[in-house]
Amino acid sequence: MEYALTRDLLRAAFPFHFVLDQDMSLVDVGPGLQALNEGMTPGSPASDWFTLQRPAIPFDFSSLVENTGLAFLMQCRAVEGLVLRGQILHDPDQGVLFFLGGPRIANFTEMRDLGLGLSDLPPHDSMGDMLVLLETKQAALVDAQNLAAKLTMGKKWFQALIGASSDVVGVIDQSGCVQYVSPGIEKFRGAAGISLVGKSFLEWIHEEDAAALRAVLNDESWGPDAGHHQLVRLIDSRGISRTLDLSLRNMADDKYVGGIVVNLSDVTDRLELRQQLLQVQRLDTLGQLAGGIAHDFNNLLFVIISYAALLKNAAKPGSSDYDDLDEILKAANDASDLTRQILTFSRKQEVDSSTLSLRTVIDDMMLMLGRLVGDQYTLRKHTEGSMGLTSGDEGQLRQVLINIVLNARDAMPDGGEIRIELETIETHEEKLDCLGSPLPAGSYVACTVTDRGVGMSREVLEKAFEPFYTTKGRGKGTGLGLATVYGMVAEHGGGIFVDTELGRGTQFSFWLPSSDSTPSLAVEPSFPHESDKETGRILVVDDSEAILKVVDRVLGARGYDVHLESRPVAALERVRHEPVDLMLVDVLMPEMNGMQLVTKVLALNPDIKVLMMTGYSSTGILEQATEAGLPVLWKPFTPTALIAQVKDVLDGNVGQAPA
Amino acid sequence: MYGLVNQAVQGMVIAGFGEDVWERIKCEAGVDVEAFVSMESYDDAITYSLVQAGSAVLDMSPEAILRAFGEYWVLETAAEGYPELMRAAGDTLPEFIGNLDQLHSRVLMTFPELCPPSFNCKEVDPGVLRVAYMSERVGLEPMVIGLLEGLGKHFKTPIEVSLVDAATEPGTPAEFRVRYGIAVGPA
Repeated sequence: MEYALTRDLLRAAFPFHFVLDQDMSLVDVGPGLQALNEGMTPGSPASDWFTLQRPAIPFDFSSLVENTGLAFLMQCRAVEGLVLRGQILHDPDQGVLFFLGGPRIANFTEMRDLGLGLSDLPPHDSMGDMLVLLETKQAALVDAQNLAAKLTMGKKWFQALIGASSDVVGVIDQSGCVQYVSPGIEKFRGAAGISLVGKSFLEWIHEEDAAALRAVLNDESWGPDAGHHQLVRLIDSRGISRTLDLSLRNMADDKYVGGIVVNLSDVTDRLELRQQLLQVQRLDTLGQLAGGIAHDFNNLLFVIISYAALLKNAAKPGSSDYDDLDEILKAANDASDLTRQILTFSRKQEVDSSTLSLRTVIDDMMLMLGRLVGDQYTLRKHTEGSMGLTSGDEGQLRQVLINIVLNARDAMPDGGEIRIELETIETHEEKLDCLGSPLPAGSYVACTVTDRGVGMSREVLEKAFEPFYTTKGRGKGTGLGLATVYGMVAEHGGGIFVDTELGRGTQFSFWLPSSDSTPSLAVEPSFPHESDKETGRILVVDDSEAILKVVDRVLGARGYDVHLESRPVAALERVRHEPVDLMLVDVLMPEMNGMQLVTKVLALNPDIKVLMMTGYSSTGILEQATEAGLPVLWKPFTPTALIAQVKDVLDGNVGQAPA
Repeated sequence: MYGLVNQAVQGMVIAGFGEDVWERIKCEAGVDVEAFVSMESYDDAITYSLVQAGSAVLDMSPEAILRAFGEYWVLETAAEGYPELMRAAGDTLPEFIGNLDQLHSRVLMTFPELCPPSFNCKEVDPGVLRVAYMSERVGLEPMVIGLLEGLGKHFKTPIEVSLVDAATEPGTPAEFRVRYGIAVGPA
């Protein structure tokens, strides 16, 4: 059975076909082609309308007949850009060639430019399918790109977020093996931190903490969503011990996490701060205690010194009584210095700056230092090269030396030699001390203490001057020694230099600016002669009967009309009814403090002169007195100083602000 | 349905109500998919759950949501995502509706698991079309109304759609009457 397509069926099935006769003239043209160019009519030469692009054969009838099996590309010259793709069929009976095919189109844009639509293609033409496929694949590609961009953005966001966190977040499995760890780990592990992945987290932390953690991980009852919290210790990449706050959350059943989430927060500094706060609170309490004791002690010393001075004044110079009393006074003055040091330590003593010879100070301290360090140690001093003239607070500088010498002792637990040297150094350029503080060019007194002890590592030296840092173990050192030393030296305009080597010893030098002035000599001024009698009515107010008695004795001997009151309220009553030229008032008293009393007294009689006495400056009362311009006499004072100060106030030589 | 449909639901909700509402709808629907992939086939139940949850969260009837979705599909998903395909499918509303079956048959090459509906369009009077719609899914007539209204906007022609007969079961036709103005070409 043979079939033949009618012309109409052929036109419907192949709207872009055309038929050629042996002269290569158009016999028929499909409706699709005709719609694109109406001039393409039967009878016109095919070469007017088409150029054969492929195959590379002559565009003549016989050549086409010989190559009917090939795919043909015909450029349609009537429509710009239109190329037809199809095949040539030869009908020998009718002596014609059929071109059956359609437009070769790469995309819908090209189709639109050619003036064609999907409906112009016959349903069997797979070109339309291909165009739809390309269009949808292109959209899918954009979709995939959008998804990838979203994924990248989400990842970057997560990385930035977790990277900015000061905490470390990680995921471990039940055995402690790290599956993920955030970049914060580099703080503890250095750049190699991420390499912890695949390794055991437990091996990284302190053995005891790891054991506690392992027990949790191995606990079968520690199930999904269970939490755990503990502190863990580890050594970071710089060899420094850190304490981390660790939190666990069991998310092994979570399909996204699939492990145990670990959060690590470095609490080392917080814990240290807490320790320091406790230390400060303890020291503050200690300081208050020391200050209070010093106050009472100063009162006692004042009594001792005053009576001893009175007795010495009455004794014959050169007699054994005179010499004995002189020794008592020296001892009492030493005790006074000791009290001063206690107050200096508790920061409750005013800085008393004067020109002094550091050589004299060292010479004076050698005996005491020798006793402090003990028999196992040999103290050698080489101070001949310099007088060590500087301006400073002798009490503080003594404390500096004591601290440094004690450190030298502690660096040699088995004993050894400690050398103290003094020299004058001229620098012509600025120098930076061990903490980088600049010392301007100039002349300095340098005191160097050398030991041949254990020395310090670089890390220890870096922290040696930090408050509360100590290598001496719990209870053996406050960690305040060198911090205090540095503070005092810096207050004097000086600096500290340290030369140390592990196992070889340490050389501590503190430099102080040289002074050209002559040091003030600690000479006890001569006791005023009996003939220098004074006049004036003086009211002494102090809650210590001993103080009252001795002041009465000293001032009475000078001719003053002295009245005593141990209670401020009684003193106030006396002022109401009796004339008073000068009131000598203790700062700290029960019932009413000295400043309150003075305020009330001056309100009654602003002409009364006032002299305050104290051995303890920690309270705000003294600041009020100073602000009011009231002169202050520091206990323990000598009878000479008392008499001189009273006279100065009465004579108006010492300022007193108007009430 | 393909992810393309769910993407369109997502796009419509986010454009109209924001990301938070979309997350609430997903949560309400119990859909735990972060991002739909356009050429991936998803269970029809996901789409239905989203529409149902959307109805609850937005306090809109499912019909209103389907109708809004139909319009969004034409104007945003198709016209924005496949503009050339839309142009190639016809220059006028009747031509476009008439070519829909052919378009769907070609789209099947790309989405082999697609179960597209069939459209048959006949101009019964000047400016009046009778559109027969047949689908394996029932109850989507409101969406077809939205689609036809969206096409009216796409071709900038006034349109009025009414449902003449709803499908009673899968595979039976629904019939719509569409009155439209003079087509002036795509936007």
